[in-house]
Amino acid sequence: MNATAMFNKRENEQDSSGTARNAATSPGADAGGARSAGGGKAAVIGPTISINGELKGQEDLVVEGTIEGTVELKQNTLTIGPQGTLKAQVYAHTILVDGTVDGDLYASERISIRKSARIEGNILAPRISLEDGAKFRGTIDMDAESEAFTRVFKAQTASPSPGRGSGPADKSTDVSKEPGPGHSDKGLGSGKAAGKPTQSTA
Amino acid sequence: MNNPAIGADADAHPSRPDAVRAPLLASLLDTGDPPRRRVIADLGALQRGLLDTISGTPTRLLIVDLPERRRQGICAWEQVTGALPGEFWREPVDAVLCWDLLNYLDVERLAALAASLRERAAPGCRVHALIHYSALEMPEQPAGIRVDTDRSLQIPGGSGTGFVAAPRYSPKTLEKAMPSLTIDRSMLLGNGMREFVFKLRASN
Repeated sequence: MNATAMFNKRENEQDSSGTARNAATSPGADAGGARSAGGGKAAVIGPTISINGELKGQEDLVVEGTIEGTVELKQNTLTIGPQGTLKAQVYAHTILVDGTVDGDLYASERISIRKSARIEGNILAPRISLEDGAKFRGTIDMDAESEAFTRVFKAQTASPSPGRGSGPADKSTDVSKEPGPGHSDKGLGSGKAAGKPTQSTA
Repeated sequence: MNNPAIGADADAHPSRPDAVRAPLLASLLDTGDPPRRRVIADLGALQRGLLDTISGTPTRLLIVDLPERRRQGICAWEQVTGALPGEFWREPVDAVLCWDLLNYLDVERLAALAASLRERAAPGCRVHALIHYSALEMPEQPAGIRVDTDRSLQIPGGSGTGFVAAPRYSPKTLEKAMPSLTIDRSMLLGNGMREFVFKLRASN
């Protein structure tokens, strides 16, 4: 089995709502990890893996496979590799895009769009970097004071979820009850991603 | 073979990429003090210089990338207004950047584009465009004009592509073709192109 395509079913099985909790391989296993942009170990969803639903966790993640739905790594870095394809709403600390995205990207820190990236949707982050050659269609918002940014990230720090930071196995975390990005903010939320809306307004 | 520019200096030769000052664009990109929130629609491709320019400002940038959609066969110039992305275009726009795209539309398409922009424009919206004015020819595809962080323009000369006759739209022709817009300001640039800022004509 391709080490980068490992998928630990015992620790990462989906719940009945379709939520894949801590879906990627543990970075503790040398064979299963990859280097994140920060130089640390990151979990990997390999190119043969396809996830449909809601994915969340508290570790860096590299996606070379396909995800349809919602991805939440608000404290961590998500890397969408050259083979990665997301049709999703994505919330992360930092997002690095080499692959294809059809959906909205929200980062509390930074979004980096590499030259091989193909993005259609809306992106919101205080800092956005771009390599020539990337293809993008949609909206870009770098206003950290915007209503959408506040709703997605600042409300989270003001009233943290009880489950936040309690570990990857804590299934009491229910982000659907957190103030979240919502889809009502004017201009943001293309509604293109396949995942069901999981956030209520703050 | 490319014709030299008429009435412009040697920098107007379209095969030579040059930095060109575009005062009207620079002015349009100013957010004011204090910066005010605004929405800019860019009919061209996403570019790093523009991102850098609006970084740290309360600006929402809408990237349409009409040239890429045409390359992909999604729309021809004749269907350009149909390619304006309604799903993203939820907020009225305060400014529209056309770059050199208007040169590639006939007068009918100019009218259709202007009407379409008007539907999506906020009060006071300005439309910026660059028209090949002095040179008789222009690259057969939009040049991929880029703005630098100092707000000057980098205008590739269209090397690797052929050239076609430039329509050399006059201010009068543009106003006639786009009755919903009126020329706010216009300036002849150092490379022989003419820079226009249009504003919405008051509705009846």
